[in-house]
Parts: sequence; C-alpha cells; structure tokens
Amino acid sequence: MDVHHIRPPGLIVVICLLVSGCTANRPALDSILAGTTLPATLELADTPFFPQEAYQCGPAALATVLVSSEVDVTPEELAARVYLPKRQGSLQLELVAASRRYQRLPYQLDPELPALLAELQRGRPVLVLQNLGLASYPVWHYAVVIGFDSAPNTILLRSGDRERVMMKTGKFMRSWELANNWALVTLRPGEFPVNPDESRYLQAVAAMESTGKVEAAATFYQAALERWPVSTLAMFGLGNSYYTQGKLQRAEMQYRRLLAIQPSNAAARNNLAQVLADRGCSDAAFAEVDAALDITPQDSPIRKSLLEIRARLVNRTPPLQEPRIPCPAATESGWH
Amino acid sequence: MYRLRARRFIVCLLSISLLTTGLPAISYAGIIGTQSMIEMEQSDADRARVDSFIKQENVRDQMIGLGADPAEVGERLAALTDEELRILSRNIDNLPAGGSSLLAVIGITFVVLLLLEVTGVIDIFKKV
Repeated sequence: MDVHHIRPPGLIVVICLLVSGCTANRPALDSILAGTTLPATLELADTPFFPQEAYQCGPAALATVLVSSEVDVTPEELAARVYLPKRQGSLQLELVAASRRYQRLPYQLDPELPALLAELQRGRPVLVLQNLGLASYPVWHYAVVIGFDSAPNTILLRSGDRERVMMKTGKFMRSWELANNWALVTLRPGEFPVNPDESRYLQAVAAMESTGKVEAAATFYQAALERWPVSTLAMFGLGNSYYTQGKLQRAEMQYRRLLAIQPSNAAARNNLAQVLADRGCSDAAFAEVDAALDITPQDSPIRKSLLEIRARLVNRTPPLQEPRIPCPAATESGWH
Repeated sequence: MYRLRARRFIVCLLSISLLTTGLPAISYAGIIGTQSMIEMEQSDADRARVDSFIKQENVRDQMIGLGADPAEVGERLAALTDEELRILSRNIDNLPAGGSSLLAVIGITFVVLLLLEVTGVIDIFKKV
C-alpha cells in the first residue's frame, strides 16, 4: 500500500494528539504573565537535581523540593517511605504524608498556572503531577517546576533523568491539566504560600498535628494566628498542640481566647474543662463541663466526651499536676 | 498445634473487635482533636465513621501487597490522617501513582499508533 491510503482526517487527529498536544488554543506564557507582577523569565538554577532511577520520579521530585526547603534528605531515603513497587510509582497522598514527617507543610496550590509561577518568584520550586499520556491511557509522572521563559514560551523543569527540561507552555499545561493541576509546595515552619487559603492552610497544619508533629504544627498555628488573628481553628489547634506537649497553661490560654470570641464552641469548652481537670481545678472544670452540656445536642460526640470528663471528676481521678498556679474561680469561666 | 493456632486467631479477632467497638471518635484523655473538630464541622454529626483501626489494617495489607517494605509500613501509615487512610482504603488501586519514565510515553505512543494502524485509520507500518 502506498501513501495515498493514509486518510487525511485520521492523520490530522494523530498528529494533533501525539505531536502538538493540542496546544493551539492555549494562551502563551506572556499573556498569562501580563496580568501579574512576574518577570518575563525566571529560573531557580540552584534547585538541586536528583536524576531518577527507574519509576522513582516520586522520591526524586519530593527530595528536590524538600532539600530546597532545607531538609537533609535523599531520594533513596524517601523511596522507602513513598514508593510502591507494584504500582511502579508513588501516590500523591504519600508524598504529602512524607513531607510532614520532615516538618514541612505540604500545601496544595490553587490549580492555576499564575499561582504556581508566583511560588517560583518566592524562590520555591513546585512539585507537580503530570499525565504525559492520554486521559484514557494515563502516564503519571512527577516533576519539579523551577522556572519559565516567555521568550521561547517554555516552562523549565527538573524531570526524570534530565536536569533542565524546557517544555512548551501549552504542552506542560495539557499534561498538568490531565493531572487535575496538582501542585505542591513544602513550607518551612511559619512559612506561607504567596496567596494562602486560610482553611486549606489550617487543615494542612491540623493534619501535621494529628500525625504527631505537634511542635512544628504549633509554629505553623502561631504564624497563622499572626496572619488571621481571629481564626478559631488556629486557636483550637494551637491549644491542642500545647496540650499534647504538656503545656497546660498555654493550652488553657488558647481555649479561653477562642471562647472569648465564640462562647458556644462546645469542643473548646470540653478541652478547657479537661485542661482544668488535669491541673487539679475540679470546681472550675465542673463549671465548664456543665456549661458545655447545656448547649450540646444529645447525639453529639462532644457530649459523650463531656460526660466522661464529668465522670472522672466525680471519681476524683488524680490530676496530672498539682495546682501550682491558683485555679480560676468556677463562676468566672462558666458561660450561660 | 492446629487448635492452638485457631484459638490464638480467635483470641486476636476478639480482642481486635473489643478494641475497636470501644474506640470513640474523640482522640484521648478527654481532649477533642483538631481534626475531629474539623470533621464535625464539615459533616453531619451522625455520619457513619469508618473505624480508624480497621482502615489502618486494610491499608497496611494493601500497601504490603503492592510491595512496600513491611518494616516501613507502620510509619508510613502513621504519617497519614484518618481522612487520607479512608481515601486509600477505598481507592489505593485507582489513584495515580506517578513514576513513569520517558520509556512509558514512547510505549503509549507506539500502542496508540498500532491501534490506529489496526483499525485502519493510519497505514504507516506496512511501508516499513
């Protein structure tokens, strides 16, 4: 058979899919940059490079961003923590979890290119998931964005075994969109992304706290409270981080601070009651428990906890600490 | 010998079920955890809660099945939140596992070309 038999429409589809990646209708980098304060070109050339071994782009890419945020770690060490041999790859959730183990806050960026590029301007390389295949035949790949250049319209990446990949912006965006625009930065304690979303940031900190990194979590919560001074979630989390570290007075202060803003927060009142009980301040603890029980619905899990605290108070479980610091008066803290 | 093993198994099973039925949604020592509070805010209070112990064991088995080093799995699980465990226990086989090299891309391209060739959309291989 000869060349005539190639059907033109089919060929066009194939070429479009495989070669150009359907980039025609995507905006060029300079039009994206136009509405921002970003420079025309930027490269974080100091970003470390870990050439990946077979299928190990997850550990390699994670090591790249972690080392950039001053963690002393190697891809080999990370492979044992994130790689799944029979999947020949790493899950996003495990990269997130692993970065918490190094006291770095895994913050997922807004799913837009400007948000990603803005992080580069702050000196932070960005871990991305790409689908280098098709939507129906995904080829999942992690890479690290380290820069961009509007003149040849490219995104710069540390990718696989190549130290400096220049990928056409449209092609990059297609591969990134096929992976739901997943982009991650690993923040040092107290750091923020360029445009932090309060709720997403605090949930990431709460995840860090709940997986045992309470000291780092406390630092993140403190920073969050400087930025969002009336965040009740940050107060609650900071109180809990202090409690876990045995810093009872500090925990108490945070719960009280929260209750001053939101007196009907039964969870905070529950925790305050527990701290008071631990301090040996039974009268004040009783007052808090009873105040909280008044406002807690019958089916709430908080009610169960409150009743347990009450039962322990009645049975006079010995306190964690003798009250070295005088207890607050029971009426002072009661709320109705 | 067999009986002893069977008995041991039953004892294990019973103690697990005892442990798990008693686990409250609240973390420990009367303190309500930050994550628990977030969950309470985000969902109905009476939403069914999958028990975290069962989820952990489920994900542990799946991760070991996927070739993770059993000695490392404990710490890997400990680094995940309850919500993340819930997602993994439901869906570990379908979530994207990034790891592919350029070779895979070439492979996919070849397969697509081959499919198009077989279905008659293109006709490039017969020339070679």
